[in-house]
Amino acid sequence: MTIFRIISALALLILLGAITFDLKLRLKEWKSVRMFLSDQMRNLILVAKEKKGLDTGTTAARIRSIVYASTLLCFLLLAVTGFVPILFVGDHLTGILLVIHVTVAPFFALSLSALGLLWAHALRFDGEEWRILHDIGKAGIGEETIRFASKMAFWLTLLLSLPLMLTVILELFPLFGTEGEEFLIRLHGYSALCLMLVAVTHLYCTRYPVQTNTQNHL
Amino acid sequence: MTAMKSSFILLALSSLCAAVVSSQTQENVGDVADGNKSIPVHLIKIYDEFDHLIKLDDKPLLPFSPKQTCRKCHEYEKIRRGWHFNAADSGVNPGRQGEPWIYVDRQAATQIPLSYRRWKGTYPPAALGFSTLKFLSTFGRHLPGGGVGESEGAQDLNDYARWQVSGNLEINCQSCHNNDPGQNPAEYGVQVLRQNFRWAAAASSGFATVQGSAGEMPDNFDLYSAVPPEKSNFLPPTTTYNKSRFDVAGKVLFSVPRKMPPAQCSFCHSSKVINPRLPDRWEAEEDVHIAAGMTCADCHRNGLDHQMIRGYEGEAAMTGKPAAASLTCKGCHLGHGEGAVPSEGRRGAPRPLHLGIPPVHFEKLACTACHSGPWPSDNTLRVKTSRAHALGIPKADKADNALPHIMTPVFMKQSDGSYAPHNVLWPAFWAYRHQNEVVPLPTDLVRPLVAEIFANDTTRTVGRWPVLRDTDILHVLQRLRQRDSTATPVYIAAGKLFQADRYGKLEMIDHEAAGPYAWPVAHDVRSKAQSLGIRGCADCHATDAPFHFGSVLIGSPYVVRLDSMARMTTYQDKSAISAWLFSLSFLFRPGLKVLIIASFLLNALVVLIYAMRGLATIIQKLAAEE
Repeated sequence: MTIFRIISALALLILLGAITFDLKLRLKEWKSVRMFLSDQMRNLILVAKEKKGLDTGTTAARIRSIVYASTLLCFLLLAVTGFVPILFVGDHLTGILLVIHVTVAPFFALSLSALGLLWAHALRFDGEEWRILHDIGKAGIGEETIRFASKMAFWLTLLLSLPLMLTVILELFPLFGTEGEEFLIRLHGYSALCLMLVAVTHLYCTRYPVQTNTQNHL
Repeated sequence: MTAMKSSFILLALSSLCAAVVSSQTQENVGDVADGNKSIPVHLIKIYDEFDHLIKLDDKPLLPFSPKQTCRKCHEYEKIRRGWHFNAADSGVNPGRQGEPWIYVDRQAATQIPLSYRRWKGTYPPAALGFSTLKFLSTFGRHLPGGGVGESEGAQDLNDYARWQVSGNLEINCQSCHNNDPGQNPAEYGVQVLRQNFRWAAAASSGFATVQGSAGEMPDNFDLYSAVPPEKSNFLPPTTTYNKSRFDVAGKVLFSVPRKMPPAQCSFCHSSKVINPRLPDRWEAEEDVHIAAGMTCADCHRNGLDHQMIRGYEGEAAMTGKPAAASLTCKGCHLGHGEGAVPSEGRRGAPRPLHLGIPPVHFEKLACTACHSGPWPSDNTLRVKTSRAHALGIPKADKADNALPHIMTPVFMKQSDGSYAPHNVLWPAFWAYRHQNEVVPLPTDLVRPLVAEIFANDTTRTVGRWPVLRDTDILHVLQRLRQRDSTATPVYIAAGKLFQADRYGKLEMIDHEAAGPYAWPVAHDVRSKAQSLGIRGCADCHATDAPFHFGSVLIGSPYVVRLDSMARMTTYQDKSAISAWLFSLSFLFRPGLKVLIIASFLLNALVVLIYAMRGLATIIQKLAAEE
């Protein structure tokens, strides 16, 4: 538990530090970074209030948005209930947080599956990604690279969800003894940590402040 | 001259060293094992308390003294500091809460936990006005002697003459170490209740008969001069030996196996759970270890110092005996730490698999939570114990609802933070309150006051408790106030503290002293198939599972809260709502399981399909580049 706590805290700090550093590098001034973040928050609130994102486009697009939003919401709930006791208390997930966690988890799994079905084709890798992979690091980070990173994050999220779910499924059946169960819980924790890092990266990529065009693929 | 002087000093030093070495290595013959595993035959001469050899033609015949007899080969001074005898030794760590002595005085509406050990929630016997003599006369029936029974420092000066009559209650080695079928612990108990302290060991040995009662003898009774008793029909204590048990050399054969059968320990360590589902004795199960042929001493081991291993987690750290960690449930079944030699599996203890049980259970629960005590039901059960209910003593109250009322199993947190089944007693007693401190009153003081109430109305008896109404309690409290106006008289019962408010009405408040006294139970251990969780999570996580939602009966004489109930969560560190919500989530878990499995399969398929397609693209690109 202690090692996982340290690794989780370090990983999150490094990721958030890297994002902050990148924002500062890209937007030059702290003031711009603050403005960027407050704009994002404002946009999020606006979307939530006016349901802008949900009322536009085709039915499929609307379903996609709903699925994306519900996955995001479930992810946030799971991340908070799963990591807060470990990071701040250093204890297992218990009590009401555990109730929330185990109740939300299946809906997250379902949303993630729906997300996979709805977005897999749109975010598949093709010849374009092959070219980006070849040219990576040559001409700085452009919109295409960000899109590639976002795709990568999407697929990694789906991939990491497999050990995340499998460990829970195996835990729920009388298949493993105490050592096995402990291993599964550790694996679940590390899978969740990796998934969280990837998901945060994905979220950052979707809102990445490219100077030329801040519109994202959502 | 100098050489002579040096030689003399050298000789003196050598002699001193030899003397020191000799004194250090001098051990009693019976305390040094030579490795032979056969059982030594104890055909020995017996001695009285004055260390005189007992001969059958002695007049008067005195009872043999286990102390003087056994110390010929065993170091009594070391043994007497053992766990069974050191309760009053303030230098001994009392360890985990244990079963107290429970003093019951129905006529004073009192049941109160007493102990010389400093367990929180117990009171020293002196707090209730008990002299050592009175304590032994009340509870000595289930004490193996020693401790306060033979400590002159613990004897009340007012009882000096009585101690001369009764003699000391020395350690009765045969309580635990005599496998003779005639060894009679019940007779020992009866003799102690008669204050025949010096006669008790002989009377219970199976080869001596003791008649008469020291308690009925006058203060000036003398063993040798035989001062006649004040009443002619009272017999002075006399000893008669079974002559056939003495050989020609005047020796007696004692059956002393290395390990005693469980029945020997059971006299003082029995418990009877009053379970309406299993009314007859043949329907109940015994401890799985005993059923497997083990003895109590297989786990509760000790050396010559008689420091018994109690066997609870944390004992090793608490007592500074690292070996104790290997004789807990975990120590035997799972091992303890990474040693050079595997430590698990002692005496063939199987390693549990605990398939599918989340490891958090092993942090939050003691092994006993799932494996020990009676299977929990909607209501807690009453339990009678040897020491609390004088089980095994002739004429003890055999009624199922005999006082004191002890409830089991109550799942509470132990001091190490894990949940374990406990026996629980709600104290009921009269006291004076000074600030926040509650000082119990001797029942002799209160009994006449309570008796006034019962004298007026003898019909008000429900179960085994007398019934007290608000007015009754107020009446006694007022009488107590008249005796001492400097302190607030209070009555503790039903988990509350009662006192008169400024308007003269009875008020009921929460107070630490009114809380239950609880001690963890470890036996009887149930088999794996009889353990909580064997039928799944719902054994404990159903919305009505007794583990959280069982009703705990709070027995008390107070009529308003007569046999009131409390939910088990009251004694756990979680609210009933949070426990219920958590349990509720288990209702949907089968459905949620299906949902996760379906999602997993779907995700795996999507990833697999696109991984295959990606692989195909990579192969194509590589081929194109070539």
